[in-house]
Amino acid sequence: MPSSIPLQVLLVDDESYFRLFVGKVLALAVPCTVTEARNGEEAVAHCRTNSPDLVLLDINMPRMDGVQALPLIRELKAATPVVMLTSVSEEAVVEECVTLGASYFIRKDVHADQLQRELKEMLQMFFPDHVAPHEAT
Amino acid sequence: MKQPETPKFRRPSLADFLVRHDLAALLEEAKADYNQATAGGPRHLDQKDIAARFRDARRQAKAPDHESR
Repeated sequence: MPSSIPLQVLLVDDESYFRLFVGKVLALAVPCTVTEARNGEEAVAHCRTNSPDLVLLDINMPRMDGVQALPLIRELKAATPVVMLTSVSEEAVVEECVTLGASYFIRKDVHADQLQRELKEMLQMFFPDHVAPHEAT
Repeated sequence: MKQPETPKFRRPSLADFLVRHDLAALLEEAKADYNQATAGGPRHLDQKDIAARFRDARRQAKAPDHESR
């Protein structure tokens, strides 16, 4: 039986419609509380005072981008899964994120159905106890 | 008096200096040779490739633990 303890998710993206979409997908897949941040600075500030179970981090954002924020979040939260969720797909950037300690990387410039599937698979990967078996696919 | 041209002493024309190529075949060869990794532009990965990179990274990160046990 899946865990009923809600996951604390920090969703970092400068596009409000995208935060709305991802928030809904997450809420349908697992019990969760989603906190939103609009850039890397806000994300790092949130991680200083909170302990999210999962960070979903965009790359192209104003003020501080995801690649800049990633090592700072890693310093604060060494064990928290940090998943890059971005339309950037350049090999060099993906490799940099691997090096900087990203836990996973999802391309968001895909069809909504595919993105929904990828998000659910990611949740299944990191939080198998929270995802009901029928929700995993 | 101007001598008539014979096949033996024919004056070369511009056409004789042109190298003729099959442009359609050349284009096909160029397309076949093109490789994004060597063409100078950034290489983009699809989700499957990205997932594989992270799977490999996780495997490498776990490897020292297995060796020490």
